[in-house]
Amino acid sequence: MRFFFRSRQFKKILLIATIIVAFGIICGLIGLTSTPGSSVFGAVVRPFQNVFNSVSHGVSDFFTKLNEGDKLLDDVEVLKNENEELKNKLVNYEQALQENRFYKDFLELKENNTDFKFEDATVISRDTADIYGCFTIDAGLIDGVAVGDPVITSAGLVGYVTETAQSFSKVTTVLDPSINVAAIDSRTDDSGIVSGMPELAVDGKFRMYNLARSCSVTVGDYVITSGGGVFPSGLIIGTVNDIKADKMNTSLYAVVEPIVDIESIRDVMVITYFSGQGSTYSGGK
Amino acid sequence: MDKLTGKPFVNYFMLSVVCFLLFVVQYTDGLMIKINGCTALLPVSAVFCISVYFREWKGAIMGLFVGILMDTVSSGSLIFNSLTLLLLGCFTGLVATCYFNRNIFSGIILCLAFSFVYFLIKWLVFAVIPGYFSLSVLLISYLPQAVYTAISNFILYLVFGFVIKKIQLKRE
Repeated sequence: MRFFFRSRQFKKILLIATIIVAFGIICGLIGLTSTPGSSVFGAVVRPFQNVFNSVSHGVSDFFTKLNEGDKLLDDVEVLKNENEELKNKLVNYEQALQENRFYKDFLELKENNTDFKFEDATVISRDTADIYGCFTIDAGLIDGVAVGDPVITSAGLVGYVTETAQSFSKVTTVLDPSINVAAIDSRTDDSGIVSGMPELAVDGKFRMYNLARSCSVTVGDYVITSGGGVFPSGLIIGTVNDIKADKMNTSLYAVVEPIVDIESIRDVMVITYFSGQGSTYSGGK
Repeated sequence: MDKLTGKPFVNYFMLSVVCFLLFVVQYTDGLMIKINGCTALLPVSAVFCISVYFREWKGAIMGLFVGILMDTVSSGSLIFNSLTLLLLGCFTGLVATCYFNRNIFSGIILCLAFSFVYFLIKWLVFAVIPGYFSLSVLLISYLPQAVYTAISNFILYLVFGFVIKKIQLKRE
């Protein structure tokens, strides 16, 4: 073993390790979020990931249809019976109408926010070892995507772009502790900051902290972005699951369930521009 | 046993293809089996097997290759996988060559050690040092992944051994 440490091979390995560390330090100092090697490798790997992704989704959809065909027929029968009952009842008409108006407002996000510029993207790979659910999309610098751009689906906010290369980008989700989103409760207007928490991330949830002890946030409330630089206002982030006191017992935090099922999303939209977009973002590793 | 064919370029090419395929399978949605949200890391297992069977230099180079691939999809890791797998590949190959005979028992020990050292370093770098220490994350996420990766290390160790023996018998 001693001979190995004196050998040329060990010196070569040491040199490669030193170069990697130097690359990492230089990239970190100048603010690059990925090394040039990663960007090149990523560009080469991307076509293969697209192919494997398409095959995987095709097979998954086929087996889903196969397994759930009979179940769907049974569900149709049950739903027919339920429909007859519901026709004779007017249950929570006002609440349903209010929710409908609420969803309609947000589903019309695109039409109402004519200043938004979107770039459609598909999830091409997912870091299975990451508890915060970060993933890679097939849109990059050539598509107008930049670091800090919010990533959404038609349901709501997913996260933001943290690293970008020519043809792909990495997205950090709302489950990550490094993300900080200014948010409000849509019903009470109580403001707080949305961020991830490792203990909650394993359950697929995150927190909205810095809530005043006198706030009226309750379970079931919707949490939306309040705007102010990185994220436009009005994007749904999630629904409140629980209210807890922080460790110092000075303020409250809400346990929030994301409105988007982060583990199963396939298609997203990147907001590449909106009126009032800030040039810096908070968070990032 | 540290040569597949007589041509070095072909050896490296074959090992790269195996690592690349395992990488694509690992990071494509829906292809990996998840147990309670955790999976094994097949590319890491590939690096382990290469370093045990092909010694320290190939272990280091393939570790670097796999590490760069993993860094392209991992958020915030920059050079973590490249550096860690380069060094782990090198030292595992060295330890396997100098201190272990190639048998089932040494294979099991090395499988466990490689996997747990990798995830220990990852836990320290991404959870403890940034201040996100959480026992529940360690027990629910890092530990199961380490165990599953150790199991996939062992399975790939057997598969690699079998395939390499067959190829070398054919050459003879």
